Amino acid sequence: MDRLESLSINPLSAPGLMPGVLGALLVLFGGLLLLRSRRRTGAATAAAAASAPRVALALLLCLGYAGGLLGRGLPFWLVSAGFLFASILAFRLLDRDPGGAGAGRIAASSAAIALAAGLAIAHLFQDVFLVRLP
Amino acid sequence: MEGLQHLFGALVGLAGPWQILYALGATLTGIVIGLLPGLSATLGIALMTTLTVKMAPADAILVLVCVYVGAIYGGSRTGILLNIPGTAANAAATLDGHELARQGQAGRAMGISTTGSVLGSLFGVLCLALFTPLLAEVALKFQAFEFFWLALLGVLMSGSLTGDDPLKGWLMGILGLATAQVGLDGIHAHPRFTFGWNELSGGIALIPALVGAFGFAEILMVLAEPARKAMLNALDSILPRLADVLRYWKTILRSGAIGVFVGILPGVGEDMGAWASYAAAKRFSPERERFGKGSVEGMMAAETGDNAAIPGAIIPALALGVPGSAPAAVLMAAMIIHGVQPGPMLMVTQPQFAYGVVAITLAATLCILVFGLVMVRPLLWVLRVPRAIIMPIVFVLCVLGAYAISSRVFDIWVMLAVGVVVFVLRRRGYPAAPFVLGIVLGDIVDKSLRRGLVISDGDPTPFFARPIAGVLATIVLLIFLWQVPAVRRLFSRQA
Repeated sequence: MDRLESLSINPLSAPGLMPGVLGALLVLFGGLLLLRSRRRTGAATAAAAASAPRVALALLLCLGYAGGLLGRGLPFWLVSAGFLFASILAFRLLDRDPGGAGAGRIAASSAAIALAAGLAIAHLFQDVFLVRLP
Repeated sequence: MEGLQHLFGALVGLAGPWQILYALGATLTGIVIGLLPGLSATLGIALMTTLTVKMAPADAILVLVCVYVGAIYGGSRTGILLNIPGTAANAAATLDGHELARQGQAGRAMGISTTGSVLGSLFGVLCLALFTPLLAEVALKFQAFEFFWLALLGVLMSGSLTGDDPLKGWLMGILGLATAQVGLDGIHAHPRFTFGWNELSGGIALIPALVGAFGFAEILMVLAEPARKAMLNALDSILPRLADVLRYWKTILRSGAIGVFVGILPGVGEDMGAWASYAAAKRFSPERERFGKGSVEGMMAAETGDNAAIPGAIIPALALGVPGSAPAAVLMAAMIIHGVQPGPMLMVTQPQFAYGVVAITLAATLCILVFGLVMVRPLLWVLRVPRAIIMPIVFVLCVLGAYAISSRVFDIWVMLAVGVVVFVLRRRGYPAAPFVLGIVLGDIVDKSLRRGLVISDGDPTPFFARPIAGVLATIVLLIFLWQVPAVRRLFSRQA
């Protein structure tokens, strides 16, 4: 590709000017943050550590669905219903009260909700908003 | 006179059956979005932008403004009942709202919320109609120098005020500005940071990035925490009380004015409108000891302030092309998608559009009054639905929201990547709002700096010597200096 220099553009309008300024500011503020962090002792809170398994599960489900399965030729409603079933079931079981509904009942209702939501969302976007689904 | 004609014409245009249906449906959607902790007004507008892309521009903006107003109003319900603000704007109202609920006055708190929201919004609508043309007239004198500082000011103020740590806020703003630099540059169409990847030539699309920052990141934040139970039993009367309005009329007026002013400040937003109004009400109240313990005045101030900030935030978006808050930034982006270019020329080329937004905001205010009076109890049902069910469904909507505008799977990846990055940063105390402002304003900052330098032939003096540019540059400098402990000590010693 031709360098803009050879196209005789005004050097003051160079496309790299703003990225350069932003890069300098990132280095400056990042450096200040680094200096400050050396003065302050920081440790991961117990709450953050406790939520790590939930975060990992959410990331696995969401990235697996949107990054891995969508757009690979499978019907959208089927992939979405599968994702919804797995996510709803997993987090309802995690949030379940002791003495609450049994796992079988939660699984059955989660499957019904997932199927209904998957079909409804696919229909809404494809037939009402005329979006070509991934 | 011409303005009144435009306003009347816009109001007549909203009287059609479809428009009434859109307004009611969108406001209800907004209230539900606001009710659900984790779903913000910004996400609501971003998602609805993708759904309204094929609608007529006037109808699409009607839907988006109604979602905006509804979401800010709806969030206080969750604050009152769960002690978790539905949106950041409702945090101040939660202080007294939840205390009132604990004292058995949850219904009264919701009535105050409705009263404050409607009155604040009406005050803001009046200011929107009055100040937008005035500000646009002043802004006609702006050149690249002023726009550079104004856009930079928006990002920096958002960074200073929306999080706990200005340094982290500024870094997020700069990250947003840097994200906006990806793709063909706006002057020479030269590719930047594309690494030969065609998908990146068009830049990081705004809506997928916003859906990632405010949707996917929020979903991860919500799912990371175990669920809490709502106090949904035994509500007292939810009807707003005239006595509360008459008793606190000064607070309402003051909070409305503060809300609009804070809303107009570039990048600050509704949450600061609520906090500033709450702080002022506490300072001037004879019953300040009740604040935080179930004060009707405190709750009224916060709810008036955050809703007045909505029209306030729309004023600079329309008149200057610089949004007053993160939701207003997405609204402005939606306007651009629908072929409306906000900025000083808007009042010259499409004055009817600006008055149309005034009429739409008024319609949205009337809708929240209707829903505040008749739909409080049915809407609370939404809070009974477990988050484990709602959040995965919202994620599917986020995926489609990111994908729908351009039908590109790449946009889904953008949404995922931005979501994960913003989630990790938010867990470490970096706010998301400056990032959004940065993405929206990145193009203006970039082009204004380079155009300004070309106009002045490389001389930076006009960036500081022109009167308005000089004032804006001084404010930017003061924002930085204020964070230096020695400067703060000097100011406080002199005070």
